[in-house]
Amino acid sequence: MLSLVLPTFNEAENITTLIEVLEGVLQGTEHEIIVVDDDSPDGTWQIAQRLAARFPRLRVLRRTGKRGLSSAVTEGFDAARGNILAVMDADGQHDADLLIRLLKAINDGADLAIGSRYVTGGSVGEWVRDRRMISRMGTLVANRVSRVIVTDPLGGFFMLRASLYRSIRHHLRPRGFKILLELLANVPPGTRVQEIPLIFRMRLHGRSKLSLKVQWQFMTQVLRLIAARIVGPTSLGTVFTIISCVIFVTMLPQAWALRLLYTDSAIRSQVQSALTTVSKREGWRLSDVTLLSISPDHLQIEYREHLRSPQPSKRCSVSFTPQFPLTCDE
Amino acid sequence: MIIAIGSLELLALLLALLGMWMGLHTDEAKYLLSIPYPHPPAIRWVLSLGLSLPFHEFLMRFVLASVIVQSSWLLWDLGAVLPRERQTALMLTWLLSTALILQGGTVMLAPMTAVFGLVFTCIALHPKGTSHCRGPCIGLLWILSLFSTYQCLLFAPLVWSSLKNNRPGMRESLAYFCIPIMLLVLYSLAHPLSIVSMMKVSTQDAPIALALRFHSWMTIIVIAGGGLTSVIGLWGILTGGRRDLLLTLLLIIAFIFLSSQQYYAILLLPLLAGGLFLLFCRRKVSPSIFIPLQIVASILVLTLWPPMHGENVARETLDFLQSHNIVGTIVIDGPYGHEWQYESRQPIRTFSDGLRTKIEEDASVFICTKKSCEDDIDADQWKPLSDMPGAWIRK
Repeated sequence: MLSLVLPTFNEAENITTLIEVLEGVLQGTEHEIIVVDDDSPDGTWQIAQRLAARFPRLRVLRRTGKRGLSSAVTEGFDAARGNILAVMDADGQHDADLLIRLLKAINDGADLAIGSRYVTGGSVGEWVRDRRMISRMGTLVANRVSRVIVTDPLGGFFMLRASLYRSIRHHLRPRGFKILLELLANVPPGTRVQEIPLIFRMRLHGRSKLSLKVQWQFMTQVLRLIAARIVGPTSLGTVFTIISCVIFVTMLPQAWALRLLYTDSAIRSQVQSALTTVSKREGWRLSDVTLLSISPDHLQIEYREHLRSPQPSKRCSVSFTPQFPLTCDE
Repeated sequence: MIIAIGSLELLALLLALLGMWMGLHTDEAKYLLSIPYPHPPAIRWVLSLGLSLPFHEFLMRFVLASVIVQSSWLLWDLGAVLPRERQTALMLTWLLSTALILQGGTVMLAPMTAVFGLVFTCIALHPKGTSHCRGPCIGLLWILSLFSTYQCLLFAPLVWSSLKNNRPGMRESLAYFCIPIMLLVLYSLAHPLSIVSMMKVSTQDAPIALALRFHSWMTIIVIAGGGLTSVIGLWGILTGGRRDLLLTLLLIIAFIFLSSQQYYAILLLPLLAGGLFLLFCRRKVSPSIFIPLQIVASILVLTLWPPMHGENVARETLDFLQSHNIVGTIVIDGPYGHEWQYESRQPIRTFSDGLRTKIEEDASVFICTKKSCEDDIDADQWKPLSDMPGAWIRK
């Protein structure tokens, strides 16, 4: 079954036409349509709920207190019942007929099928030059973090197997607008991706949501994905191993040098007496003393006076004779 | 978001100022000077950075307070599965707790232990496999926490369940869980005075009568969550069906029973927040009632156990000596805390009957911190400072 997710926010003017078109296109395909609405002030969710009475395969999720296209998509995917998941914009910019070609690509063996504006036959339509340039630059940057290189990693019209989505769900951080990029940055190696040409259309009604905030969110998403790649589980595992080895190599000789303390009770009481006598005689606090090594006849310590002004430490030796004589290298 | 972060920094600043008003305690001075006992070095080393700066103490109070208040975002992240009102209430649980208000501005390691506890609680309570911190990340956090404070060991059940929750294999989980503990054991063997010191601190309340100890234990639990969260959080833990939370709670409660220091209250806070999260998930508590009640309860508990203003005798005395250009070794007779070391620019020696004569002869200041030092001081050699009671300088 195909589960199509439509994330919406203030799409009251577009939603009815879109649902009618989709129901027509998907006639003969087992499907469900999930509208995930971020509590639109224009009442998109109310219109969608009314439509659900006409179209029983339409479900509406109204989110309160949350906003964001990516999280709306993942919430829709999480609630989907189908074994194939799809997402498209609800503003009429995506051609609903493409769904059938995306579905065919999945049925032919692709794990992920993307509607691409930049593959041969695709187009960005009537975009102005500045927007084309921003999109091209974004694509270049996005491909640096994608695990699979595609021509249009920033698109919002794609279809994938539910099993693939579930296998990477816990890696996704659905923030901002670019959910496809999030998926591409986390898909396992060997994922079969197919791109289908998409001709991007002008939105039917309403205003574009591409703002400075969206661009900022995209930049932070890219930076986060780059950081996640650098500090991935493999490199963290390496850091863990290195830190553990460094601590082990540093501490083992120190612990070994003090082994008599743990194996010989007579030496232990000698050390105790030596430390008490010496610290009293020198006026030291025991907290300023560190044990370095213990041999049958003497004890090596380090004394560091802990003050705010820098104080050099000194190494001292205490003999296990009645007076516990102390010799230090100043 | 920026406004929220800014507001939290403002709260951190207020907590740091409160910490300054409460005065420098011996344990705080110990961590600021990076004195090696009892805790391992990770955090105390950071605290000792910039030691010679004049505002070092305030800076470190502010840094720690910032870490503590900003860690409330972990609860925000954990509560992402809840409606916004409950998510906010969960975050406020941390910020409004009495333990955080009393401990947030101190330079103690208990609040940092609580932050590590919160990290592990949040990872463990994340829905299965959805945490961004997985095997190696948990292993690294575990090693960092253990090399910061010994008390982090109390959160071991949560660490184990975090590892299991994030689906690495059994061998991998065992490695990330056990290797840090084994390294801590090795560190302790290489620094035996740490163990001695830790044992001394942990069992210092052993002679206290059982009834009194029980009273302090109850007080600590009330302070931990400001009364209300203490009760609701415990209820959440007990009814939430999470063995990891319950086991950690038992370990911490047992530890507090042994060593009933009031500042350990904050160790319970991450667990109480976890218990509250479980209740919020089951819609058992209404946030619109909970938040105002929590504020009232915290104010009430703070009235009963208010922050105490601390006099810094060490700073007054040593500033006085410095302003009068009195330099040279200082001998202190009687008990004294590490704040004397922190405030002093001159070497300090502890007076005892066995003190080497040469050291006594070379000293230029004699300070008495006990009731009377008349028997220990030679009036022919020392004269009292009229403006500074308890201090003598050489004639």
